[in-house]
Parts: sequence; C-alpha cells; structure tokens
Amino acid sequence: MILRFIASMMILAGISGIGFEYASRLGKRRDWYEQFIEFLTLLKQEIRYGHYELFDCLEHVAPGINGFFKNFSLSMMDRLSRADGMGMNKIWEETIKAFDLQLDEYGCHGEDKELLKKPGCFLGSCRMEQQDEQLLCLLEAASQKKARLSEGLCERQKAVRLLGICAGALIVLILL
Amino acid sequence: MELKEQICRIFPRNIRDTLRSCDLDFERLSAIRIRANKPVIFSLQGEERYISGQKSMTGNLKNALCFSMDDIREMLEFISNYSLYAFEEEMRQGFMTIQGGHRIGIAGNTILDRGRVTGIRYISCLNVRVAHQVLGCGDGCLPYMYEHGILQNTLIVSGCGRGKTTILRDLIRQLSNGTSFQRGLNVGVVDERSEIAASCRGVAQMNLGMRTDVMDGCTKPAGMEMLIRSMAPDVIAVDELGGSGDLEAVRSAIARGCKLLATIHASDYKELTCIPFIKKLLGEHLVTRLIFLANEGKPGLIQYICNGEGGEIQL
Repeated sequence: MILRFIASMMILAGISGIGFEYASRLGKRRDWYEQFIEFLTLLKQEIRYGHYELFDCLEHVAPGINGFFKNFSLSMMDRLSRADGMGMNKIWEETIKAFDLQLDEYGCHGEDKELLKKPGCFLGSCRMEQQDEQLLCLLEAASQKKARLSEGLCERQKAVRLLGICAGALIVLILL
Repeated sequence: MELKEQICRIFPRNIRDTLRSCDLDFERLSAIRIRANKPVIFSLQGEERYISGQKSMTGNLKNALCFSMDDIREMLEFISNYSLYAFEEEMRQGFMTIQGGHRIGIAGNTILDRGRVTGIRYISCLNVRVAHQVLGCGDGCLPYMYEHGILQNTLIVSGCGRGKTTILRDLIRQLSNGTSFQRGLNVGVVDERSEIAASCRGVAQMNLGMRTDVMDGCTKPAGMEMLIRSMAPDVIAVDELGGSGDLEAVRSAIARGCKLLATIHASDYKELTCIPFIKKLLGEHLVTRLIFLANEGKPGLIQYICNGEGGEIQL
C-alpha cells in the first residue's frame, strides 16, 4: 500500500513537473526575446553613434547585458579576434550552433533561431544606413514576436501547470 | 603582429595558407595588386611574383591564380574587420588603412549623389601598398633641414612610391626624440589617411617619437587648426599637401610659429613649381627646404636638396 502511494506521488510529481517546466519555458522564451531586443538596440547604438568596429561594439555591449547574449557577444568577439579567414555569415552561424543547447533551454524554436541568424547576413557587410534599416526591421520583428508571446502569458502558464497536475492525477487514477 | 601576418590576414583562407608557407620576402614587398578575374601581382622592388594554382609562388604568369569578385568581396570583410560601415568615409575617398599602416586602394563602380561620390559598389580592384618603417632613413636629410641652427620649413618631393612617407615618418621620429642639432620638439601630425602613424584603434603603430601627437583620419586644414589650438606643436607634419584649403592652413600654421614638415607629389623642381599652390608657398618664402627623392633606384634615395629658390644646398 505504501509502495503504491509512493509510486503514485512520484508519477504525479513527475508529470506535474513537466507542466511546470513547460510553463517556465514559455516565460523564458519571452525573456530571451527581451534580451534579444536589448542586445540589438545596444548594438545598433554602438554602430550608429559610436562608429566603432563590430568587435569593439560587441566589447562595449557585453558588459551592459546579462544572460544568453552576454555569452553570445563574448563568443563572437573570440571568433572575430581569431580571424581565421571565415566570412561574417559563417562566423555568426557557427556561434549560434555552439549555443544550440542554451537556445533549447530558453525554449527557442526553429523560427527563433532563424531570426537570430539574420544579423549574420548583413552585419559588417553593408553601408551604415542600409545596416541601420536592417537592424530596425529585425528589432521590429523581435518586438512583435515578444508582444505575441507576452499576450496572456500568465494565463497560459497557469493553464499548462494545471494541465500537468491534472494529467498526473488522471494517470495515477487510471493506474490505481 | 609581424608584417607577414598583417598581410596574410586580409586574404581568403586558402590563400593565407599559401602565403604563410611560401618563401616570399615580405620585407621587399612593396605592393599587391588584385583585380577581378586577373592574376594577383606581388611587386617586390621591380620584380613580380604570382600565386600559382599549385598553392605556391611563381614568377610564371601562365600558372598565375586569378581572384573572383567573391574573393574580393570576402577580402573587403577581412580588411574592414567585418565592419564595412565603419570605413564608409575612407571608402568614399578610395582607400582603407589596415593594421600596420598598409593602405589599400579600392576601385569599382562609384555611387554618385548630385555629382558627389557617396560610395563604391562592385569593387573589383584592390591595391595593397605595404608600409615599411625604416628607422634612420631620414639621417641624410636632417643636417640640410637646419640653417644657423634653426629648423626650416621643409617639403619632401618625389613621384609615387619613392619613399616620401617613410622618410617623413623617420624625420618626425627624430625631431620628436631630439637630434644632435636640437632638443626634442613637440610634433603634431595630421594623418589624413592613417599612413604616417598607422593608428589602429587610436594608437599609433609606427614609432613617431616620444613628443608626437597624432590627429588621425582628419582633413589637413581641420587637423592642423585643431592641433595648433589644443596641442601647441613646434612642428606640424602632414602627408601629401595639395588639397583645397591646405594653402591657408599652412600659412596659418607658419604664422603661428609652427615649422612645417610635409610631403608633396612631383618629380622635379620644374614640375613642383607648376603646382599653383606650391608656387605661392615658395613665392612667399614660406618653404625654404625642398628634399627631392630619386625617381629611380632604391626608394628613399635622396637626389638633391635645395632651398626655396631651387638653389642646391651643399653642407
């Protein structure tokens, strides 16, 4: 009887945990977009008003941000300073690949990764105004995405958590 | 970073490996000419070398490797440190300067806005002019630059690629550190094309002496004005005089007690005096020493030194 009770509790906790984890990822993904917007805004300012080279821009941006994009900036700087004959697009893509696991932890999907890949296509290879426009478009897209993710986030998180608990309870009942 | 690495870093990956492993004498290298779909030419003081298809250097034009537009586009990324936007102004003027002071001339299809060049697209030609610092190459000129112990306003004159900037750089260093003729002077350098000091992120890569202030990437008239106001230089040094506004700036600098050390493009005294701007400077006795470099032989060779009237000076 005791064993049955322990097993039921473990199943309930496990399945509820999945719900809680998924709910937390929903929030993390929104937070990632927030960090992305902050990163792009600071980068744009450094480029536009500082007129610094990309390496210096990243060097100036990195201390002012936290989380994913701080590490991303530092990693990009490292790759840029090595100057091993790769194009910007390739360097940017390889850095994203290296951060694939972290992106998964933030709950980022294919479309998020595609959006993150975009700066690699134009950063450093366009004229100032053109690059400014591209960054502005990207910022707009990221802001829209963030707004969509923020819409009813609390309710969705609650629903997912509740769903986890209910699913756990249902499975326990069936098994009992 | 050594010269070889500075040059290798601007080439696509596969070419870098060839350049790193080949026996090319980078110390003798004066220029590299890259043109789309044409062989890449490495000029070594009169001799030409090419990259062969077998990933080595060759003197045979038949096996020479040609660069595509994509290779040139890739090179531009490396030259600009992945930051073309930061070199817009330089590109508008047709050149970029990389670490080490090597100037890279660019040519392609210009973008015009109301007759003014706003940029260059389809860049298809690059000319890498390799900068060399030769310490002591100005030793031969220095004694001639003084009269009764007073430094004279001096112009270094020669044709293209004859070592004007190299000699100017060494004279700046010597005047700044002090010579056997004079204690060290405060030298203000207006480095419009980042060729004299080869500043990289604001720090001079070349040795210009301990009392030298550099205004980098600034037009000569504006830079001279700013330096005189802020740094109180004893000597103002500039490269390649002749632009609009230079005459007034030089007049103003000399009137405010600065000595002038500059270079100008001409092959001899006759050609020099045909330049209206110089004619005025010489007519007003503002420049009293002209150092002419030989148009043949080793770069930096002094042909003769004369005063403002063209009279050769003997020590």
